[in-house]
Amino acid sequence: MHVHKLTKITLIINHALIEETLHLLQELKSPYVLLQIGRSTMIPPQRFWRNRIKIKDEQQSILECYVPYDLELFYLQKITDELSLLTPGRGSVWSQAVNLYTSLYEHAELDTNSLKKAVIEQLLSTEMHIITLVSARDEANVFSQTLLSKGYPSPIIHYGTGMGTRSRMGLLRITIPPEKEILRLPIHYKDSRFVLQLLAHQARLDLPGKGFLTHCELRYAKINTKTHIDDPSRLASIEQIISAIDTLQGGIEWRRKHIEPIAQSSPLKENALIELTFIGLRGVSEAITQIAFELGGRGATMVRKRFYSFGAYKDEFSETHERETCNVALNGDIASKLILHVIQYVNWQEIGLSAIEEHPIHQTFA
Amino acid sequence: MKAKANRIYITPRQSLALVHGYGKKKISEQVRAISFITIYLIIFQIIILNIPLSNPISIFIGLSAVVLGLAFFLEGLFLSVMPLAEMAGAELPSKMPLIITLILAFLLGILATLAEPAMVVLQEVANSIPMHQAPLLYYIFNYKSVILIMALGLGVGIAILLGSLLTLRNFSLKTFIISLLLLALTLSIIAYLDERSRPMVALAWDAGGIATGAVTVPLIIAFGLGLNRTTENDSESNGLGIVTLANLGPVNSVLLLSIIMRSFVPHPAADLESFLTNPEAFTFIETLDTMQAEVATTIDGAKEFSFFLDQLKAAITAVGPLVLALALIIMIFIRKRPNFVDEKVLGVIFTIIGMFFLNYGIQTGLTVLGRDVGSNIYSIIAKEEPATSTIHNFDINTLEYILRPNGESTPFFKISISGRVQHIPFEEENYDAQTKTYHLASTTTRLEQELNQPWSKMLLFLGFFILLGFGGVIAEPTLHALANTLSELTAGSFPKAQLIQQVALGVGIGLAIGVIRMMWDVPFLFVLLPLYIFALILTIFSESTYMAVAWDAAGVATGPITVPLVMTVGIGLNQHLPSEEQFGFLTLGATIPILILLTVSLKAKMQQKRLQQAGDAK
Repeated sequence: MHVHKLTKITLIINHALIEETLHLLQELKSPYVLLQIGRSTMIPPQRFWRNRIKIKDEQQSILECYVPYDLELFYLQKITDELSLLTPGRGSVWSQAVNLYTSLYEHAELDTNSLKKAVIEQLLSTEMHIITLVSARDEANVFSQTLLSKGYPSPIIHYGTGMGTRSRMGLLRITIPPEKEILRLPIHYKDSRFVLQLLAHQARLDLPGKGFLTHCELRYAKINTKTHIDDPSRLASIEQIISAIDTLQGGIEWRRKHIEPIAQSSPLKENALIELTFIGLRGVSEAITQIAFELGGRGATMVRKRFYSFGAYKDEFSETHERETCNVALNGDIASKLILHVIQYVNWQEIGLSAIEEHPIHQTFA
Repeated sequence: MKAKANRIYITPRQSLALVHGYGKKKISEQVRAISFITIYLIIFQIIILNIPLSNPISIFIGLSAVVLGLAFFLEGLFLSVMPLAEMAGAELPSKMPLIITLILAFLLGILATLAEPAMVVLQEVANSIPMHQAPLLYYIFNYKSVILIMALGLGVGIAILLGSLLTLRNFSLKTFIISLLLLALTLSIIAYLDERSRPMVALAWDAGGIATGAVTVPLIIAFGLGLNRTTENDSESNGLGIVTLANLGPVNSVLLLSIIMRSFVPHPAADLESFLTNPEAFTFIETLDTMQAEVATTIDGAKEFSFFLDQLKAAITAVGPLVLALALIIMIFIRKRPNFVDEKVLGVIFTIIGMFFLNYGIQTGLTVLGRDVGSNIYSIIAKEEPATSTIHNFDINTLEYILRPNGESTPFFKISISGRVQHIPFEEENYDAQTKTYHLASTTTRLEQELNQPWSKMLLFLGFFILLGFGGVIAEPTLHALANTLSELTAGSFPKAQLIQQVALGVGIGLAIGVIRMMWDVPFLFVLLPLYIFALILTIFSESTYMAVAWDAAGVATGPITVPLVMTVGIGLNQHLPSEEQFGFLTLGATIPILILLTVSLKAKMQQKRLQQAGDAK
């Protein structure tokens, strides 16, 4: 078992573009790609009979791949160029530093001569955060609507299954719906405090069991600026104009001035944690959560994904493309114990585990 | 190593609070689901038809049973049947060779149809058609019902096998649907051209919708979803579309059966006397006398049981074999223990209890309401029989004669009615020679009478069917199961409510078209062909997932609530509108949702194209 220091590139792409995205990742020989379906929300054109903002959902594909540091900018350049991410509405991309524990990870050699480092760094935003809120099913649209109405980018929402307290309740577990919605929003770090406060307030995080709010640092990001469904009467949408200014300014910091005064009065508390993502076959979450609870863990979220390997090596379970990921957030000590325990005592093949991803996060609570 | 997590201790009071909250939520959801159709039928009966409720207490108990049934049934499906079927679909391809997966899918399809209790509904309609008008129908339902059920089972089995293959190998669902549909339409035309198999055409199309019922549909959907998870690329339909194939499979198999078996029966006749003049009919009846009616054992066999036991037996028969088959597949072929086995067992019990309450409630509550309204709905547009006007001082010498091709001459006379000169055949029994009066019967045709109705009455009449279909479908548990799956598949980007409303509206409009067809006695095929050709054209141009959803939704819309409700109202209507083809009502109801959803899908496809072009134009 080896630990690989990598960057995880997360790509949110309009579902209509999934084929060309997979084709690109195949060209890049990505050895470890996970795909899941999500949705983003947008504000449709206002109508005279509709006095409230009513948001509209759009299907998105969320792709995650693990890339060595030396290929990170090359990947981001290729993705931004080939998938035209500068055009509003097509998608977002960001990267973050992670450790990946797996027996097999090797990226093929790529010719990176076409990399224009200065240009891509100019296009990408740095000093970004990713905010994640795990809430009950059907609640995320309310938060999304609030964010959109305050001028923030459209968050990505996907489904998950809660595996915490519920699974220790015996048959009474059926009385608590396990279905969760996970909202993720990439945002400049100077705005993140205000957004965290906004979400914590709206999700009523002061009450127990209402949700789990975290944020962590990103390395680079290019976010989708489209928040409104186009009004065809305009020559350029507001998002195209914002996107152009983002590019000219080399980031989105120029937008923060409107909200900074409110952000200063935040009463939120933070807790440094480690997020572990166990990647494996169907059923891996149940096995892992049992161990995590024994060691002091309190909750987990399971998500079903599809796995692709475009490199020379497949993982151990290449007969099926279905994968399950189990996310647990633990304090540093417990996380280390859990990793150690799983590496030393657990038969990975038997429980269908293929990799563990590790990265630091900050939990926010009211 | 498998560490055992500590179980949380929950006090009885806390347990009660949890169960109370859970039960309240589930039941209130179902109260909302059936409130529209219930209030609508009651208001329609009391205020518009001015008929009191026949047995309000029994209806109330029945409706309460429907609410409980839906709550238990849906919860049971989501706790056990669907996760088990999904697990089977997701694990089988990686554990077994393709051929074994396909064989198991085939067997699952056959078993699902054999366990389907809704087939009895077809029998009820078939019983209302006399032998001389549809000898093949009579023969198959009363003497060859086993062959009919086998044909349906084979149809569903082969369709699920094909559906699994196309999902696993990422073959085009569109091609499969279009091919099966073209085959079904061709077979329908062939069957329609022979008057012996003609009555079977509408039956075959209705049977397609009925063969996949309340348990089968969620099972097929979840199985397809599981299969799709294992594949390298998203199959273009996302694992959906197998329900559609499972609908079209039986349509084809029953049409084929009717074409093969029509040689065993004589030609139908309008009345029994002329039917018996055919020597073939005589031989046919003699043959029937030597055969034992099969239906007695399949339909009436449970008479000895009480009504409750009968319903419980039906529920266990519908759910038990399928769940048992799934459990066996998981234990023998997958050899993996499902998560939370206790939850799965509880889910199966919930499904059976739910099915029991649902069947009981539908029969004693919803169907009674439907029957009361259905048998009286025609009174809205029925004109009182026009009083036969009498012509006084009728002069028999004014009669004229018209020569017919056979050489006979028929007497007639001319009369001016509302400024129009009409030629009326003279009938001797209407003439009273002593008083020199002639009793003139109504001179207008039924079609003219109906067209002459005030539009408000006609709109009210058709509007009733639109809202009946709408109300029935929004309570349909199978549609909720499909909407949930779709929501899961698209992470909520395809709103559940939108799908349910579009399908419900489509079914309502389809039923209204079905009523118009019956009123004017338009041949079923003449209505079906243009609608399906239009649907085919839309299918060719639509986006794959939406297309699969559109076709699946049509199959799903005719579930345990809509089928008995619509059929009861349909049978009531049949007494007043003696259409030659009494089947086909359900099929037309299921066709319009396809057209609505496919049209919506074209819009989605155009949006996707615009987005792709936006990238190309960079």
